[in-house]
Amino acid sequence: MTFSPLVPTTTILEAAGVLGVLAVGAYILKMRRRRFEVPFSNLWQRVLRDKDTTSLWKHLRRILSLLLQLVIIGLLMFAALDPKLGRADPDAKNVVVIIDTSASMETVDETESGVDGPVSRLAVAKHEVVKLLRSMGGGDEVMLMRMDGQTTPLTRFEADLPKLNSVVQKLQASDTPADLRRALSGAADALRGRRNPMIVLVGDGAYPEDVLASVLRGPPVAQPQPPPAAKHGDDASFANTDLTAIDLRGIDLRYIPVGKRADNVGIVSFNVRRYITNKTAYEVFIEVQNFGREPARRKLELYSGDLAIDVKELTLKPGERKRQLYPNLGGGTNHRLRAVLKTVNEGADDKADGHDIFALDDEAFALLPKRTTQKILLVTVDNLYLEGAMLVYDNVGVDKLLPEEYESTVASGKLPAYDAVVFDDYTPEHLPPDKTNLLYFNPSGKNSPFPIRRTLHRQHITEVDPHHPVTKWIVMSDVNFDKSSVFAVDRAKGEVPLFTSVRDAIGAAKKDGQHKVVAFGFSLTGTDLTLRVAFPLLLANILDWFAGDDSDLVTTYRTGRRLWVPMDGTYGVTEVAVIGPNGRQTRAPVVDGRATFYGHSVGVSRLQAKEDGKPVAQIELAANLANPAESNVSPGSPLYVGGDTDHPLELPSGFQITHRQSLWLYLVMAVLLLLGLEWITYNRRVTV
Amino acid sequence: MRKPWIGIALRILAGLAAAGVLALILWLTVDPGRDTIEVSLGSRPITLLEPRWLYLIAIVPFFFVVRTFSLTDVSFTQQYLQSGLRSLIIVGLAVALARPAWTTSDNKISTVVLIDVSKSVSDKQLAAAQKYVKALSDAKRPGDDLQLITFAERPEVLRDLSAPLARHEGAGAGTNIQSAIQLGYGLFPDGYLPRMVIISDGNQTTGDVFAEAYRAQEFGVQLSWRMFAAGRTDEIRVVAIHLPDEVKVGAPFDVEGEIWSTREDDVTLSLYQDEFPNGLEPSKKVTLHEGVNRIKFKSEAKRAGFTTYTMKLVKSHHDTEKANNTAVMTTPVKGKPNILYVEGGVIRDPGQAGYLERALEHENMDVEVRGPRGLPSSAKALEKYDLVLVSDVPAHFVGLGQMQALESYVRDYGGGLIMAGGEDSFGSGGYQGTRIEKIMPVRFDSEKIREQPNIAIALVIDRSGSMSGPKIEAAKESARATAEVLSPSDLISVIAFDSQPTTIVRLQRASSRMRISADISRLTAGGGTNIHPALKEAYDTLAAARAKVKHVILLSDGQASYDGIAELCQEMRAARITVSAVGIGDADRNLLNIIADNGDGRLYMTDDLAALPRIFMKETTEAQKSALVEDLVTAHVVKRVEAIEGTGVDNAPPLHGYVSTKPKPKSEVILISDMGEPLLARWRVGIGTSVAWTSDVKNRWSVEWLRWGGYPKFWAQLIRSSMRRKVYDSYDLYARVDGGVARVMVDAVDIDDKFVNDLDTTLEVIDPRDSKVKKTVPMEQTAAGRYEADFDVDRYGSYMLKAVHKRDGKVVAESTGAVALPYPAEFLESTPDEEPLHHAALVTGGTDQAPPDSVWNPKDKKIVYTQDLWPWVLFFVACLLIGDIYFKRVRVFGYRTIKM
Repeated sequence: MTFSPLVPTTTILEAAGVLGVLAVGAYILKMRRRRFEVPFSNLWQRVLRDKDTTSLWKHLRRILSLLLQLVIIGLLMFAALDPKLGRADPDAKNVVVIIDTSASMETVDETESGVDGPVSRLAVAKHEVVKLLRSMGGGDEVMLMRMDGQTTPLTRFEADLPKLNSVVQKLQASDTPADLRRALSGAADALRGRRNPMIVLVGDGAYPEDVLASVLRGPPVAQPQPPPAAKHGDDASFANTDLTAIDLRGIDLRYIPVGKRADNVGIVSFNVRRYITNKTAYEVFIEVQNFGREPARRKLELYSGDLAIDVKELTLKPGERKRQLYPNLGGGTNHRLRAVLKTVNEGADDKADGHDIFALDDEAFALLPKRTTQKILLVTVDNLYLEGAMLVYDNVGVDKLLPEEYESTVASGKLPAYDAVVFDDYTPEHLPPDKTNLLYFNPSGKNSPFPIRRTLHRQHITEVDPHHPVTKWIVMSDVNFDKSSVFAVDRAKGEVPLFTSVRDAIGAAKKDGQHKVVAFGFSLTGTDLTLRVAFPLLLANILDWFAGDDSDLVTTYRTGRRLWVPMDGTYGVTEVAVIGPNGRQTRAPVVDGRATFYGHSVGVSRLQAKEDGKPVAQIELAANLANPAESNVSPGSPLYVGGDTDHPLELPSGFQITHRQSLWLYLVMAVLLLLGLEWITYNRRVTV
Repeated sequence: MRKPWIGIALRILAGLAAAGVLALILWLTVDPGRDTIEVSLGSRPITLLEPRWLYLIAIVPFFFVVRTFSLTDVSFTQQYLQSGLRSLIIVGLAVALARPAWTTSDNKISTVVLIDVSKSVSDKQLAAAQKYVKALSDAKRPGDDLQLITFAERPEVLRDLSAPLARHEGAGAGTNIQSAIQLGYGLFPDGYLPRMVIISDGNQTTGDVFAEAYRAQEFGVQLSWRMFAAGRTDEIRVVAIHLPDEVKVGAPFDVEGEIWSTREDDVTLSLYQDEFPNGLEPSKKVTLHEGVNRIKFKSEAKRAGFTTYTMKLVKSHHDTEKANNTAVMTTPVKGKPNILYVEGGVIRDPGQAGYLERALEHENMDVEVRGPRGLPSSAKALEKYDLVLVSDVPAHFVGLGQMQALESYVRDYGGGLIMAGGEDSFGSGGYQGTRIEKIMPVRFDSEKIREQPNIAIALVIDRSGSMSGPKIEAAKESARATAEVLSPSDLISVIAFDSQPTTIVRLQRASSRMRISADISRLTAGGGTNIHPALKEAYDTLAAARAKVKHVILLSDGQASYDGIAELCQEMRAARITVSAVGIGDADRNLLNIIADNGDGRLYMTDDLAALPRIFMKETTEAQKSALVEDLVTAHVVKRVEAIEGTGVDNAPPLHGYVSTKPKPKSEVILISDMGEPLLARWRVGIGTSVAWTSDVKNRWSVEWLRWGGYPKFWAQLIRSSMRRKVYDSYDLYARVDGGVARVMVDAVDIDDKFVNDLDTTLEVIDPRDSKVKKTVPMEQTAAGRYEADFDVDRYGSYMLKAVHKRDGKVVAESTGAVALPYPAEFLESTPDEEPLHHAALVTGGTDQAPPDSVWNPKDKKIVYTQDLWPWVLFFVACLLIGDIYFKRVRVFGYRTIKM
């Protein structure tokens, strides 16, 4: 037997002693005799006759009464120690109840017995879990686990039903898809080494087939032993490891299905992207799918800010997915876009006209990457090619200085703040202040941003890095130059060769602490690059990269994923504040210039970077469910796992009706019984 | 006089009624049936967790009922007060059972220690961790709680705190701190300040302790960490292989290995291209310096498609972990046409494939030469070739599956197929009636426009007991196939034998195919094996026949007497009767060899019953030699097509022979012989092209062409015009492995920099080890021009990726790439990484390198939690009980007189 007293044991023992002494003391007190009204003639006879025979009985009755009182006090004090049976019931189970709290559990689709009115699947799931908990034996122990995009154990292994019940009632659904693999693995971890392990999955069964198929079931296997020769440091045998398998061998997996209807129509994808060559225009992409078994009609509205820019009525066949593309959009200042699916006839009860059981995917958000106007300084002795090309880029303000003017201005500390400085055929002694991005054409000497290995003559560009934002989408092969410096590019420092001439880097880029740097080994006056259409595009790419406006950048994400958001323009910031769509603020670390955090909520979030308490950058990002598997709320029942299509997962059963391991309840019940008994015996003078 | 039981009954009824009323009042006022009831007591609300027990209060009237029977002599006032006190006790017990709880605070600490036992942690570090846990246990205050989790790839709760720390052997290599933290959340008891101490080297392979720290902070869990010195361990890792973005056939490039070393060391590195040593630089001896080393190997891709590079550290002086000594990466190689050339003639002369191979390589083509059995059996395996050239390969070397694969390769995958002639090609190779004939632009049953030799053929078939079942059926099928191949005027006889020969089909014209077939059906198995009488019977039958060619095909599966066989065969040979032998199963190869040798025929041994009819057909055709035209013939151009433009084929030297075929109606005949039969014909099959070149490609019929200067050009042009055309666009494909999941993205942007939308895109995940597609994943369009897909990486190694973009069911573009997870990331890092642990401590208010005392220091912090109050209620009830006793033992309000 074990004890887990909520009150210190010594306190209980001391109290028991004091109460026992007080009780004994009460019986030491001599109580005056009772007064009987009896006929006088019998008085002396009765008194004399009973005197010898009753005195022993009276003592006994008093001792019995005292013992009864002491037993009651003892039981109460013993109960206060919260004793539990030391030896666990061998048939008792250890159960992890995985409750699906993913987005699809917000689906409102059914009326269940025991649950009032149309309610969400999560409410039904809670009801089922409470029913399950009540059906379990007293020796069974349960850990509650929440499953959405992440897995969170909510309790220890408990047998305390009210506590478990209370945790269940507090559950809320999230905006993220279910990660069944992680949940099952987590449950298996928690059950490892426990007797009679069982996992009960309570959810709507909308889980990926490949995850279900990768579950290993069957009898328990002995702990895998290392091969005889394998010890730490030896060549481990991992080549044939199945990395996707979820090992549930030896664990009884059960399933309680929840959900009935499937008639959901949702936005499964919504995004916006600027064109590569024309950054002022953009293209919007929306995809809507009818997951139901009946045709459906919906009104699709597209907003820019609060302004509706398109309203369409869609008719979708069962299972049909429709793409809507809005090309060549532009103008306007609002960068927030919103797509909404609405009913065709307001208030219609007809499924086809818009009664939707899952609201989370009826609204989606997208953001256009903001265009920042950059202030550029050209340090050059008149270069029409360069100045002309700069005019193509619409979001810059350009100043110009001669090299000697630049040096004197920098030396005097009067150089205004620029976003970027372009050094044309000139390598400065002094760099502008930190956070200014730098572009070099034909740098030379020891101040070159990349060490110069040698000089090439009359060559041409042979290879271009097609992945770097600066050179992406640009055809540069066969660009000629009369001579060019060859840079020593150190990849270990994050330096990247952009162009090479037979593996000699003649163009390179790097992020150097507080700024970004791009350098070309040749002069613009000695190349035909300036005559090509690629030149202005190259400059635009460079300036976009400086501004963090990568043409690949899409600021719309999916929930339920780790997000990596570039925090351009912030240096030395290790943490940002994340303000969610509901105003809730959390924090996120910044690693390698990217904020990383988990996408919890559908909507528009803000990331704020601060330095010395002052905001230095703010980025917005939109997150949508955008998960067809989660929007497909069609309940998955029966559920088959491990490729066994003959035996679906069964409802949980096999719980033994056993006593509770915690004994205090039984002890208090015994006290109640004894109190009743004592009350009767006292009043009938059996005990005194 | 009133009966006493009536009074008792009345009082009990009254008691019950009162209990009912009380229960009703409870139901109406507090509704104990609810899950919980909250009672507000000032600023500290009390929650009743099991309020149903409050209904117990309804038994209170019972005590008042009992009182009415009381024999005690205390006053009525005291009796009522006693009953009241007892009722209060009952109410107290009911309240205790209803589980009252309130919110309170405490500074007790529960600490879960998470101990990294992964392979990157040394034994020395583990021993230090064990000591640390002991110190933690000693330092904890009374009432504090300590629990342990060990973790590597997965976490595990360690119930015995004093047990030695063990590694998770056999449970995979990895470090997932995040999952250990998540498991730890479920271990904290109520009412304790939750804390975790992570003992790790900080190297995570999956999970993200960085991000989990924020969740821990939300849950109020303080994360501290401790890292112990590993002791110096010499380690060298082959971290990765870097390949250029674009690799072209024939263009040298650098394969860069990223090697990380803890110290300077002289090592040997080997590089493998697919499974073979890298041709230009198979290995290198280099001196590594401490830190990252980038070692370059020169390499050259020899063929287009995918090439997998493997770099191995084969020799070093200072290395501990061997599992991280190999890195692998696959790259798509663009360039030369990739031709599979299957040459049957290499069996007779290995040099026979060299003529065309050299010519094509001279024309900058990749040629893979294989023997007659080398045809892959799946269309997928053929897909990497742009064209398959089958030359002089007899049909019995080509299984049904291989034929089917060839057909599918051409029809469905758009591959090119050229069948070149030879004595074992087309009809003379036994392909008549096969799938290959179906997809060829010519029919193999040539018209007898030349002088044709009449043939008399005798099939001598073993029908002994061992031939029963599938063997005899295959034999029957072979006999029927032979009759089909023969011209109507040819003669056929079928003689079955066991101990004695039996003529099943008497010698007759092959035109009576129905009757012959019916006679063959009578063939049954049973009896012994005696070949000599049967051969003699065949000899006698054919000797009397009037035919230019007389041939015997003997089929047997068993042992028989050698007596007189060789002599008989020689005699038959002298009578211009040739004998071939076909052995199946355990047939006596030696005996059959003697028969074929002496009978001037051929020997076939096979275990494949399905191949038997083709062997018979081939053998019959061989005997006929009717399809072969072995004369000097000149190629005449009948249709000028681009494929032969500029090759000068009009002036090509004569050929020395070809296989006679007949063009199919919709085929495109380009070259014909002097007799008007097709030499070169082609047509479309599905989305591919098949070509028939009825002469050969080597030194028998094309001997003069080999010396002709136009030979390489002719073949190069013919192949280029027939091979699979890659008319598709190619879009950029990006792939990376993130936490065991490969995330693949394709940016579809056309040459005008416009996004390409509405593609139906699927991603094929190909295992480079066998070139098989392991899984096909649909790629969802997620933005204009962007397509994405994820898949779980289910093994270590590299994957080739091919995204196939279709529109209206037709392939319009392809994207290729590769992704690699060479070995468990556990072996990738061994330098301790404090950063994520430090950050986690910073975020949650934990301590770096936490000393044991600091872990148990609450630092004025208190945990607010829901505390059960029922023990205190029981105390209260016990106190009431003492009052109850005294109230019984002490007369307070005088006497009550008891009437006797």
